[in-house]
Amino acid sequence: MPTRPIGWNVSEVAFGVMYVLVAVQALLLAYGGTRRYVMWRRGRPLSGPLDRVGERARHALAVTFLHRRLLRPGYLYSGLMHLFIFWGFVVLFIGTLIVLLEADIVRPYFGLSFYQGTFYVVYKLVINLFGLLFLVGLLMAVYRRYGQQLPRFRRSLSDDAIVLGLLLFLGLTGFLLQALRLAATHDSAAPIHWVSYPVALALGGVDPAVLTGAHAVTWWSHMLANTALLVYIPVSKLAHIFTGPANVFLRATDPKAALNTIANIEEQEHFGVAKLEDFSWKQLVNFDACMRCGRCLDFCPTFNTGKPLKPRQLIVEIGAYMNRQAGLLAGPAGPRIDEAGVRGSELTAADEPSLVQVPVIANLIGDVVSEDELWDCTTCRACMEQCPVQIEHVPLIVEMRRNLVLEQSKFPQELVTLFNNLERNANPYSFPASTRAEWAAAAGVQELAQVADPSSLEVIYWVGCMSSFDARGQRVATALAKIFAAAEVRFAILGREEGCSGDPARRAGNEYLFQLLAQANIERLNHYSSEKRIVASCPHCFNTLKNEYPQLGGNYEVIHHSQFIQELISSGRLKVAPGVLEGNGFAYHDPCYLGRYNEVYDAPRDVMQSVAGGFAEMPRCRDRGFCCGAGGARAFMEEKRGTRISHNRLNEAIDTRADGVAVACPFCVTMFEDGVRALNVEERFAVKDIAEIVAAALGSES
Amino acid sequence: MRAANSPGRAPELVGATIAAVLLEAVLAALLTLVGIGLTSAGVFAHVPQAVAPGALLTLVGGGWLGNALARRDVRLFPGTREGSKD
Amino acid sequence: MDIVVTVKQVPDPDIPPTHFRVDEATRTVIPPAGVSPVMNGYDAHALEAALRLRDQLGGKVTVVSLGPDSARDALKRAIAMGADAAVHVNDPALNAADSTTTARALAAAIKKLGHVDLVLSGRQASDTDGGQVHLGIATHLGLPAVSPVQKIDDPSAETVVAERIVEDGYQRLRVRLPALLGVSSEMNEPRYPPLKGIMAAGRAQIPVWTAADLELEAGQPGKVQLRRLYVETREASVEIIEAESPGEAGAKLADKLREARLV
Repeated sequence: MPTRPIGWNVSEVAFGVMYVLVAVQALLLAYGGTRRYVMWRRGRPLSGPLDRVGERARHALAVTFLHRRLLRPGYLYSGLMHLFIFWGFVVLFIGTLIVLLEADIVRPYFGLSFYQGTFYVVYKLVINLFGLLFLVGLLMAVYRRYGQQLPRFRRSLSDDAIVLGLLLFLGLTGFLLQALRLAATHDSAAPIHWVSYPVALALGGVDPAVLTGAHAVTWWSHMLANTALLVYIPVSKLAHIFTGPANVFLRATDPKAALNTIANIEEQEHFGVAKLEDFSWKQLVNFDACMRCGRCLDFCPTFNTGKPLKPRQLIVEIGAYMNRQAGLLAGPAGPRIDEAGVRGSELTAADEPSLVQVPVIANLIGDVVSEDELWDCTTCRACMEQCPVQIEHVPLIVEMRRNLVLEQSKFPQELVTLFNNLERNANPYSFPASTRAEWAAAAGVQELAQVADPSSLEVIYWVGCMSSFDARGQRVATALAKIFAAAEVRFAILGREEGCSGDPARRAGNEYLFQLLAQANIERLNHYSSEKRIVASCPHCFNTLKNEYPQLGGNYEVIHHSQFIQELISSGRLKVAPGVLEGNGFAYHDPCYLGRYNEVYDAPRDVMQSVAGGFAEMPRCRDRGFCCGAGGARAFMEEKRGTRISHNRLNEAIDTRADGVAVACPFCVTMFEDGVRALNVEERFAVKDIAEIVAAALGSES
Repeated sequence: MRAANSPGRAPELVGATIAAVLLEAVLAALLTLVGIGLTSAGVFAHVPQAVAPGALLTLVGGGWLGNALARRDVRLFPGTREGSKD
Repeated sequence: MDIVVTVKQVPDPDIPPTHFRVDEATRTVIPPAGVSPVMNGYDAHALEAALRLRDQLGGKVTVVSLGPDSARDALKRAIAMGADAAVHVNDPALNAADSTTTARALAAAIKKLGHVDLVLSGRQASDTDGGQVHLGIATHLGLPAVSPVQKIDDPSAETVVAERIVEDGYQRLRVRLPALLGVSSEMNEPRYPPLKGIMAAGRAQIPVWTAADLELEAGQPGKVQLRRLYVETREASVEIIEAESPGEAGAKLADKLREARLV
């Protein structure tokens, strides 16, 4: 009858000590967890109780156990790697619980035994499998970090090595214990312990006394290593075991594409975040959830162009600062704050501190996080998209920008011009608002105010500032007007009643100016009708009107022009001959605010397929699309640090051997137009909005 | 309903010493010791029924003690007192 | 240090010139509709300089503006940026006056404010580009005036050092206070008002003074009379120089330029 003597060769002293160590582990785990919790609760309270708890829990469980955010396109290796480690450990842990159940409860209290026979055989087969997967995953991890030379693992810490080392040690000693017992006791059921079996055979000739002695030593070391692991969890990156799912739970039902609003802004005394306690307590959990995987860096435009902002570093800096305040070491071998700065984060040179002179009680902005890091951000969300535990880098950055703008009045000089222009002219340029509809007059497009019967209109075309005032942008608006006419869509524009959506103001942290601009637009839109569909040719306007205006009372049905054109084509209202690919076609670039923010990946591609007969897909596409560099009000700031983001993306487009890049956003158009001139390829590489491509295809019809 | 951005609770405590911990910590410690006593009895005096409840008490007692120390802002790790350099 | 800053509200200088119209009958400029006037750019630099001096040395910054009701917005902007107090001189008899009358009125207002260590003005207004008012104020108040100034150094209770821009460089002058300085845009970047400032400005009460409050003699004519205001009509014509070779074309062009007395 296959079974094993539980506790074979383990002395009473060993067991006695084991239970004492349980007390130590429980104490330190509870201490570390509570210290973190106490730190989180120093953040601002939420505006109401946590809602939709069931939905959050389901989401958190799915993300945790099914690894939904780890097994992503492009991350199969590391997704499987972690899956093996995770499930290996979980099953091994359940295995331990089963043995505990048998030895400490079922046998003494019920006089029964289930840990034998068929149960035992199945148990051993399964546990050997998962123990092996555990080791395989760990070895994959070792290779990933130390062998693959990925940019985001350029600087590893001893914390990383300790974690991997401890886990490997535990896994290996577990199998060794099994093998030693099998060899020493000549267990007849040895083959079912199939991973240790070959080792047991190899040890067959060894003196049993030696085997028994080795087994005892291994047992002690396995127990001590286990104690070390549990004690290490609260002060190391392993805390993510608890904080990761906690963060996913807290973030689960937050609206994806909208920044939070400031209610009653005129009555507030304090704006944005200047110190840790200004973050909401939910946001503080973000910093503890990070385990420094670095996926946020892979598609980050600033990390990949050598700028100060590296999303992981931002989180790690603030997390280390927070843990220092909490009385935790942030891992004895992990990132620490000392006089020279925050060590152990994204360092370019071997020991170059990321900041200089961080006193223990430091200013969050300035000492822990630099202003350059905050202003570098393009708000593209590549970091948030990839983060396995849903850390929200962008809202954290914007909250700090809000403090700099609204309270300290301390921000790049170029933004003064932007804010002044937005205030005076309701557009980011110095064009007077009265000239906003001049392009429309030339194109025969009417303003809503001039339309006799507004109820006969099908859509309102929201033009946006760039397409209204900028010469290059106006070509896109004119092209779209031509498409509307060809499809016989009755539409009008707000024209002089349209003002900037407020997107650049909000991303730059000027929430007050955003609300002023938004409220003016909402008043105008509600005046005409909040039921009409709004078509926007700018993803920033699209996102703001659709996802953020509801915060201020503006609820509209908004779609992007690529979606509308796709509708027109598939319904047959827009008659376009099936496109034939000319030359090498265009490479399609996913605008951040259309793609990642609103998950509109397919409509523009369908349009390109229908009208142009196809397009080239860039390696960094869809949710991994690489930003053009204009978001986050960066289009209105100079790019002085690192290399140019737009050139990085353009080179990728050029490398596909396409004849040009097709975009669906006026900011992207501008960045790439500037880029092709700077890279001297304007003769052979075109930049076109898909509206222009479609309009040109129509031109060949009529 | 508080507005979303009203300030949070101010940090309440200055670092306490272990000596300042009260009744709660003593109780938790006692509980832990009882648990260890039970598991030891189970192991050394061969009373297997004592192990499970003993382990449970040890776990709960140890956790409670850790939690109590944490809530009172006791700094267990060297060099992590407020104001000290790390 | 008690500082007074004079500000003028002007049409937005970023408006393209073609958008303005001129009413020749009333000799007034009509800016395009829907565009708000703004604080004169140089005055914003002057205000910024005043705020920095106050932040450094303590004291008070008071802003004065002469103009119609709309000038109130410029004063609110000044308060939002951090000015401690504002005064609005608003009188139909004065609002459209020439530089000399404006200078007289503003000088009277400043005198009425009491003790002043330093008066800062923008070097000129961006609508008239006259550059006279601030010098007139100094004359009426008997203050030494230095303009245009690109830097203020070493401020103390008794003196400041002013860097005055001249054609090929600058002069450094130590000026005894009280004095008046005409501030140029090279001096600083005016700050963007913090939100609390904007809110405070919204609630601020700004006293309004008329000519009577300033005890100005009525009926004194200005010294400069605007005779005519018009938009110059430009004619453009193009003449292509025909020639056999570029060298010959160049020679012919040179002849033409000399004939037209352009060189």
